[in-house]
Formats: sequence, structure tokens, C-alpha cells
Amino acid sequence: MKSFAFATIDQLKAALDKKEISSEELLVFYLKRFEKYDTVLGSALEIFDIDSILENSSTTGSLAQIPGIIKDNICQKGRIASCASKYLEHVKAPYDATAILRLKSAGALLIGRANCDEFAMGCSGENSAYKDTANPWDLSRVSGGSSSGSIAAVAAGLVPWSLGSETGGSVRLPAAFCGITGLKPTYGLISRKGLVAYASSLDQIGIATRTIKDNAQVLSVIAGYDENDFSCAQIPPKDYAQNIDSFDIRGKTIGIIETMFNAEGLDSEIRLALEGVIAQYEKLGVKTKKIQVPSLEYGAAVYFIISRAEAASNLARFDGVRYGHRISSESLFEMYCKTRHDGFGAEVRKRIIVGNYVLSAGHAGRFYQKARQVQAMIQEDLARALFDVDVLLSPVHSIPAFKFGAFDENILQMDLQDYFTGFCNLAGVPALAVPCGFTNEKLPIGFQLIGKHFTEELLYQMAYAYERETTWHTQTPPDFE
Amino acid sequence: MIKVSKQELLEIARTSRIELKEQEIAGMLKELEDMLSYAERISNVVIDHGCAPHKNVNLFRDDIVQVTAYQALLDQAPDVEQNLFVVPKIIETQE
Repeated sequence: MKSFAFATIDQLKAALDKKEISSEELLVFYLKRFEKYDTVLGSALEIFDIDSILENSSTTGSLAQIPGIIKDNICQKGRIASCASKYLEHVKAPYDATAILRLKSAGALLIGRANCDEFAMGCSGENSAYKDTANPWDLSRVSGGSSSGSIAAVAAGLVPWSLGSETGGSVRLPAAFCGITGLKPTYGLISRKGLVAYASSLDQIGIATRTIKDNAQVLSVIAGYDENDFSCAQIPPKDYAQNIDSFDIRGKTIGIIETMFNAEGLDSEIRLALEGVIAQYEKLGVKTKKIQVPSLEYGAAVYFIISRAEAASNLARFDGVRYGHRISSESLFEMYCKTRHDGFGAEVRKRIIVGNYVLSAGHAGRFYQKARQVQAMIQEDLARALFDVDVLLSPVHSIPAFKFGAFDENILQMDLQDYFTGFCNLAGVPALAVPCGFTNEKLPIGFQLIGKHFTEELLYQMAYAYERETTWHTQTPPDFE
Repeated sequence: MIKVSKQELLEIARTSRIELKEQEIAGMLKELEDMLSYAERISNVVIDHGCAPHKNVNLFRDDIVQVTAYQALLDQAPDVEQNLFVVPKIIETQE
């Protein structure tokens, strides 16, 4: 049988239409790939049984019978939603997230739960309470996080698309580490109903695929207003893929964020690859303009404070009373403390403690309040930077995917992986990570395009113009043929 | 470099309702201090008064009465008796 491992959504739809393969055969094909490869990759926490995947699935719709995998912090009714935490090990989602409802009505087959950092907190995927997810390009290295399993599964050709989530770079960073495309949409474009909260003012569901068009097709299904999420914007649904081909990129302007290119520790091979991207765009008739946005230097610091503060508040709901884990104790206070100690992993506990510190009476002014002010400044500076260009271009990562355990002794350096991504979440703007090369060690490199609010269509068009001229997205990890 | 005392860490952990075991304290202190010391750089930023953080606005919708299949929710509870959540005793008697 022809291999569909790295086929695009359009190719799969054509094969189904022409009856080259039945939808059940296609599903079995991917499930077998999980069986064969996921023992070494570790991308899935659970693959559902075939009957339950197909049960009530729609055969019509724009993603009809196309399999995908969902990050374990997005609710799929009747399935476990553990957020890769022991705390929620046995907790089943009582309802579907709005994005899941929309995927189901578009006919998509949801085949399982993807591994991730516990409660989406991490940059490497090493914080899952269950297992590590490896990088398909080098199994001794991390996939990146927090949407580790969602990205690794797509990169290894185990599924064509997946949902992850973004708070500070959790889709774009692993997408760059694994050589695929990852979207962090504008805050408010996709409903957060059914996405377990980490830092609510930053959280968005994100999309991972191997091509730009695939990404746009999934976004077209899940984007749009939802009355169940008041942070969701009144944006009418639209087809984000239909105008990708016809787009004329000549005369557009890209702002190169010099502040990010000058950042300390940016790997020389990554810098070189990004210079190649800029040259390619110029060849296509795009004007480029160097822009300084000095306040972005504070992006990581502001992101650390705001995300941890919101995490401390959001995770207060896990009290051992109504659902999930409980360690019975003599006193209520002890029950809370022991339950939260044993239920949460070390990174989650630390983020809660950092969050409560920066919110506490003596320190809130110096940390949380000040961070909110600097956030407002970053928002304004980015808006100004985007004023007379169409999109901005920046690195996504400073170093290629690293070895497991590389930052065990220096967690702060690990957290600083968010330096290139967190500011987009702080400003609520959309950003798209796109593959643009490999290091000498054959590790993927990515760049990102950043747009004004709700300009996802333009991001796709600009990225597609690059993708069409290059072959990075067609390269596949050799161990996963 | 920001220094946090052991006493302050224990107080924050208590507020967070998270047990800290003796052998975890040194590591947690270091990671907390590292992060705060990095984050403290925002104190260098001079804010011009044009930049006010967005105010949080509360939005409400009307309550809608819905019939929920409560069994699915009860199934998630750590402890259940008949159709009720069993919650820990909240009033403690002083011996």
C-alpha cells in the first residue's frame, strides 16, 4: 500500500475521494504507525480504540475522516483529560471543548491524547508526569514543549495535524525543534472553552501541521466566536486556505526585529538560516526593514511573572475536594497540602509558588503590577512596529533541540527558551513558526512571522510564498519512513 | 540578586497549600531566587504614562437553567456516597 505517512490533508482527501483507500484503512494505517513508532517517540498518552474513534463520526465536512491528535489539556467528552498530570490521572472530560465540537462536526477523527508538559508548563516536554517525548530527528533530544506529543506525532508522520496550546510559545518552539509548522493564533480567535487554564490571559489553542495549507484548513474549522468564552472575539468564520495560492507577495514589507537577532546566545547556524529566509523573501520581491523594539528584551521577564501569577490562581481549584486526586488526612489543611504536593509535579509546584510570591502583599507592586505595565508597553511597541510593515520576522529559538537533561542544573536557562516567543502571547498577536533549514547535525531550524491582531490569513499567505520556494517542509525524519 | 528567606518560602508554600518537604527547600529556594532575580530586570524599565495596563472587565451573561447529567461529574469525585460528594470535614475542634 502507498504510504500516506507524510501526505497533506488535500492529498488524503483526494485519496479518499478516489477510493484509493477507505477511511477505515487510513485510520488503521496511522494507528499502526503509532504502534510501530510511538514506543520510542512517546508522543501519545493514549490512542483510542478504533470503534470509539469512528463512532458517530461524520463522513462529510472539510476534515472528513482525517485523523488528528489532541493535546491532553483539551477536553474530549468521555475521554481522560489529565493534562499529563497525576492529579487528573483518572478524570474524564464531562463535555467537549468548543474546538473539539467543531472538529467533530467537520468530520475529523480524533484518535487520542497527546503527551505534553504537565498543565502545559515547560519548554522541553520533560515535565510530563508520564513520559518524555523524543525528537523524531534525534531520539536523544527533546521535542520541545509544552505541546511535545502534538508536535512530535505530526513531525514523525503519525498524524497529519494536531492541536496543541500556547501560553508562551508551547506550539511554536517544539514546531521549530521538530521542523514543522505551528500556529499561535490571535488571542480570542479560538474559543478556550474546554482548554484547561494555565494563564488565562495568554492561553490559546494552537495548531501543528507539516504544511501551511494544512494549518489553514484546521484553523478554518475551529476559529470563530463562541458565546461560551467571553474572551472570544466576534470574528465570523472564514476559509483561511482559499486565498493562499492567488496571493501576490511582491511589494509587501517585512519588519526584521533586530532586537531578537541581536539577542545573546542566538546560535550561529540559526542566524545563518534566518538570513537565508530574509534573502529568499527579498528575491520574491518583498521589502525588508530592520526594526528595533527594545522593550521586547523584557518579554521573558514579564511573561514569567504574569504566567506564574495566573497559574497560581487558576490551579487553586485543584483542592482535592470535587475531582481528581485526594490524599486523606486528619485535617483539611493537611489534606490540601499533601494532595497538591503529591498530585502536582515539581515544575507545577514551583510555578504556583513563584506566582503566589509575585502576587503577595509585599511584592506585588515590584513584580506583578510592574509586569502589567511593561506588558502594556510591549503591546504598544509591537503595534507601532507593525504599523508600517505587513508582518514581522524573528527567530523562534536560540538553540536547536537539546539533549534530555541538558538544563537539569539550570532551569532558568531552560525557561529562557520562551525569550523569542513569549512576547507574542503578551501582546495577543498571531505568530506562525515555519521550518527554514537544518543544522550541520541535521536538527531542524524555524523562523516565525508575527502579524497584527487577526491577520492569520496574511501570515499563511506570506509563509506559503516562502514554503513554495523551499523544500524544508518535505524533509522527513529518516527513522520514521 | 534577590534573596528569599526560608521562613518566607515556607509562608508562601503555606499560602499556596503545597507541602514542602525538608529536602525540597534548598532546591526550591534556589529556583525561586533565580527566577525572581531574572524577572527583577523590569524594575529598570521607565514607564511613560501612556502605557496603562488594560483594566480587567467583568462580563456576565444571564443564568441559563440546564439539566446536567450529574453522574459524569460525580464519577470524577475522589469520594462519593449515594448521589453526594463526600467532602472533608471543614470545622476542626480544638482539643
